Amino acid sequence: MERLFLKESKSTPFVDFDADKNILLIKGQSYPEDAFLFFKPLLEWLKEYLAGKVGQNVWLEVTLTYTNTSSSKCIMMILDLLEEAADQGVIVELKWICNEHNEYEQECAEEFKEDYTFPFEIVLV
Amino acid sequence: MDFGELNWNAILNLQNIELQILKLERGGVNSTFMKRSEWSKYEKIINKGTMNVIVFASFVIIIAIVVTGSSNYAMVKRSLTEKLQKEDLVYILKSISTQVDARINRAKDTSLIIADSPDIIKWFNDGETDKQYEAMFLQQMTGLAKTFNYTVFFTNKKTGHYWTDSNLLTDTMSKDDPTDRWFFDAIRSDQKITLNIDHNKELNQTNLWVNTLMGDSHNPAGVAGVGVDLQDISTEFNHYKIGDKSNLWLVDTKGKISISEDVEQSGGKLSDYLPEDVYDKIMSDSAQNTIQPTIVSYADKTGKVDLIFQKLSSCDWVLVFQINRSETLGVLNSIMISTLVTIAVVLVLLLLVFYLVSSRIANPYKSAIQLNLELENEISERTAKISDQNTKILESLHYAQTIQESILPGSDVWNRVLADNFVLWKPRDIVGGDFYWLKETKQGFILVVGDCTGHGVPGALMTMAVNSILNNIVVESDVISPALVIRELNRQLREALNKEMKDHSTDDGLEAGICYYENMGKLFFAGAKINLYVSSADQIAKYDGCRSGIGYIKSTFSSEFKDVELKVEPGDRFYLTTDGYLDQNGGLNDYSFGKSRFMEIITRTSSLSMREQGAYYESELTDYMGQAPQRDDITVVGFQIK
Repeated sequence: MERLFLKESKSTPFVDFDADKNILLIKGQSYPEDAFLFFKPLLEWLKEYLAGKVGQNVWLEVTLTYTNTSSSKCIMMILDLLEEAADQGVIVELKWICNEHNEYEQECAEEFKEDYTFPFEIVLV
Repeated sequence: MDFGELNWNAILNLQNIELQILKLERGGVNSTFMKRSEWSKYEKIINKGTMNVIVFASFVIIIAIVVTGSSNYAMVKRSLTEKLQKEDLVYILKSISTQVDARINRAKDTSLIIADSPDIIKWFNDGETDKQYEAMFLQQMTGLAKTFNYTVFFTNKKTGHYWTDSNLLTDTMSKDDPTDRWFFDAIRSDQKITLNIDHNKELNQTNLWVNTLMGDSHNPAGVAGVGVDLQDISTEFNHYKIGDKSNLWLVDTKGKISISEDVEQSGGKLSDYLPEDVYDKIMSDSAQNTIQPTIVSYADKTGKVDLIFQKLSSCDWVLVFQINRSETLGVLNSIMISTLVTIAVVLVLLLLVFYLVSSRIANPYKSAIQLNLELENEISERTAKISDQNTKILESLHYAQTIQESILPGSDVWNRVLADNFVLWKPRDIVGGDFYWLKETKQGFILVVGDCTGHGVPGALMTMAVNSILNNIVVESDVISPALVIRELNRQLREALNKEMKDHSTDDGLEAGICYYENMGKLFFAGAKINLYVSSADQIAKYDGCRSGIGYIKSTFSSEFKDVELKVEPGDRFYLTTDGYLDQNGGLNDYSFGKSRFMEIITRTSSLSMREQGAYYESELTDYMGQAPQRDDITVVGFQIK
């Protein structure tokens, strides 16, 4: 599968979904005016990718210093996909990296963590 | 719903950029069309550039021509000088000397033949008595003269008679007559042949006399010989002259000029015409009897002079040829002139060529500028249009703001229901998705602080929908449960926005915090992603809303979702805020403002009135933001119950 690579912009995060290494990275801020437009290709990529990963490891690493409400909803959709995949036997591991001085990041990560059952580690740096 | 807002931002940005372009290009002057003076500015640039190229290229080519021209000049000059000295001067001198030598030698031979004629010697020794021989002698003499084209003369030592072929017996030698001195000198010299030259300036004649002793040199019968008119040699000299500044002299051993092409100089002294050292060299070298040509170069007031001299082989005389170098190298002047003419012609051609070439090179440049101007005009026209549209949109937005504000509760309602309060309402884009809603009921009042998805116009449209649904749900007479209001709002909103369609592309809703105060000191709170902060005498409490938003596809509120009931003590203060205030970035690390900081402000402002707190919250936020733009719509409501 083709690698999904998006450069960071002022209002969208850096994205690097590497199907060969099974490492998915999201890093930056996310507050585009139309969040769904930005996340739609990510969601489609993930759907296709996760379908063929049963029994295999997938690592996701997220760093989000700010997300607006609609971006948060899209992130939730991504995590829902992972949860679904985990239920079907994909070995999903998520590492959510937060700055220890940024209360907002931590709260955000903790809120997400509550909703999911796959390994979800919050790392303070 | 976001489309309109996107457009609006794009328009604002575009206009900004274009205004900057205009400012850059026009130095801040906004004019719709380019002025004439600005055009001529470009033309000046073109002309200046073209001229620079022409001047530079001309300069380079002229230098090249001058360098080649002058090196040619120098080379030609050197080789010409060399040729002049080694070949031309020698050739001229040798030609003349050979000619002069031949003439003199022939005259000497002829003289010897006639002087040694035994019949004539005998007739002279006999005292010219034989009249019969005299007649024969005269006939012979005139015959000889005719044959050789000489003047033939005989002079008898015994009688002193001087016979010539033209006047026959013309004179008798006398020792007292100075004009006869040559005769006595010749007899006395004891030399077989002596040469003598005389000049007749009136007749422009120069004669060479070959005086030959007749018979025995020690006891000659007389002196005979021939006289040669050297005028033709003098004329010959003229042929070798190059220009006016050359001289050809035949000089005798005493430095007297015997023959010159200039009759005025004949008989004069050579030393009058030459520098002393050159004259001395000629005299001393020629005395050494060598007949090789010698070249001397010197400078006098007329410039550089080349001089060549050679002793004649037929006698001791010296032939001197002097020429001013400017004459021999005259050809160089024509080289110089032709070089200058070439430079002038090349320059004219260059200017012509460069004018043509540069105008052709400059043309694309000109058209680029023309195109640029057209684009600028187009941009300014569009900018004007956009500015026009912008104004319309802004007017429209401001009107929308008036409408949105009109549905927000006015200060009269606040003052009626509450002891004190403040409202910080700052939509990001004039209008927005944040709102607050206050309604007086029979038992008390209900307050809603909400944040609909989206900002600007789409957000504002959502607030209108939510506003009307709230008006439907809340009936004044009812006892109200905020949790029930939220549940009902969720249901109606999902219905209104066709949430059952499960179309992900529109999934909109809101976050809300709802307080219902029932008289006699009870406050009920329920929140969807919005918390309630309460500041009481000894502590600050936070009551979290549920983690689900209202009206979204996945939003469900089970029966377990219930109100929080609070007992209100006098002096308690309540705060509701949307995420705009809490999430605003700023500070040193550009982090979000955060709940902790928010709660710190609550603590810090406990001694202030609610009205004063409003100003404090606003200035805290402004300080924290610094230069960062507002991220989201912001609403903070604080109140104190009567």
